[in-house]
Amino acid sequence: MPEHATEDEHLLLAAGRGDLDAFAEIVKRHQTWAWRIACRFLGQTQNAEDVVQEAFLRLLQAAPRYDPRAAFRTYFYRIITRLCLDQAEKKHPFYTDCPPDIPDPGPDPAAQIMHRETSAAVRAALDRLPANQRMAVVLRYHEDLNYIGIAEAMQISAKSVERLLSRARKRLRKLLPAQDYRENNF
Amino acid sequence: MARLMTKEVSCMAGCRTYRRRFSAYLDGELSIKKQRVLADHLATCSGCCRELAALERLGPALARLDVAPPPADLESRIVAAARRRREERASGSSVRLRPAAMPAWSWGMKAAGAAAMVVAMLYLGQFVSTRGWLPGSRGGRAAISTTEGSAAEGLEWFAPAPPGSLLSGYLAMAGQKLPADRTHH
Repeated sequence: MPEHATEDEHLLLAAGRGDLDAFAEIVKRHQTWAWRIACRFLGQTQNAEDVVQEAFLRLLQAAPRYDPRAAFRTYFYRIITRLCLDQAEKKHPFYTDCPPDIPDPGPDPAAQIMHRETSAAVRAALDRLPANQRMAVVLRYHEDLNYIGIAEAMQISAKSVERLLSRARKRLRKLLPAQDYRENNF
Repeated sequence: MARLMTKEVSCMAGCRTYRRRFSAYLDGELSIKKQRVLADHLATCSGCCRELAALERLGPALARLDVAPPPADLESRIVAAARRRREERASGSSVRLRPAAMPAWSWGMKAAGAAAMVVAMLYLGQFVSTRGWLPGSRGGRAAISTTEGSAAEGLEWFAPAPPGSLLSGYLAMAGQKLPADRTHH
């Protein structure tokens, strides 16, 4: 989470007045977490690139109408969440046994293989979840949002978030093999 | 034995109620009162403890999902795209991402026109049909009495037929034939 939240609002207001340098600064600050949400949700880097680019362009387009009473992050979460869910509706889930290029976990080849296999298993399990459950999981586990935060991002009620996460966990429990928990000491 | 079974079943039914709250419990979204009730149950139910522990392990498992770092030129591409869009807007040649949508009223007009055409065709079809609805008849099949007391189905709608025409000939035949048929009964 970036610590310059208040500056973000000022930058967005400046971008709304046509200041592209302010917009470039917003992109620089937030591209990584926007990328991570899209990538974790979609699982494909090509689609994630498209979504992230479109999310920032929509942010710029909406900047002149931005109300600084709403937190920048909440505002941007809504845009990227909507775009990700729209993208998921367009495309069939992408089941893969090969994880994307991931950072090297360490020098130990056995550890690398295990890491890749685990990541692939988690990816495959996430891809089998319905899109709204998957988004709730990404926002809860990877973005550490509470129910109200997830509800605002997905524009649903907190009760619906609870139901989505409960169903997602139930399903993930079946999809992720028990041996993954034990052998990898999860 | 039967008493033991009943107790076990009622325990499982109770467990289901508690297990529905596990997700909110793990997320810290359960009220303090409900947390206490759940903790009391967990202290006595090993099955629920195992289930909760399995759900807890999902967190570390999901944390193992790695993502590739963003492309090095992502930032510059986004900013370049923003500049392009602004220039396009400034020059008034904004490129639409999607084809221009038809106005809503245009679709409405088309739908209304198609519906009117279908209704008109159905209505006309009733008049053209020799077995369809005719004014004055109650059912779908109309039997029209001729002056001779015979039945000519539907054809009188075209009457009066000009003398010597095919229609007048057919009406005359229909009027004569029916009494002959009746002789068989």
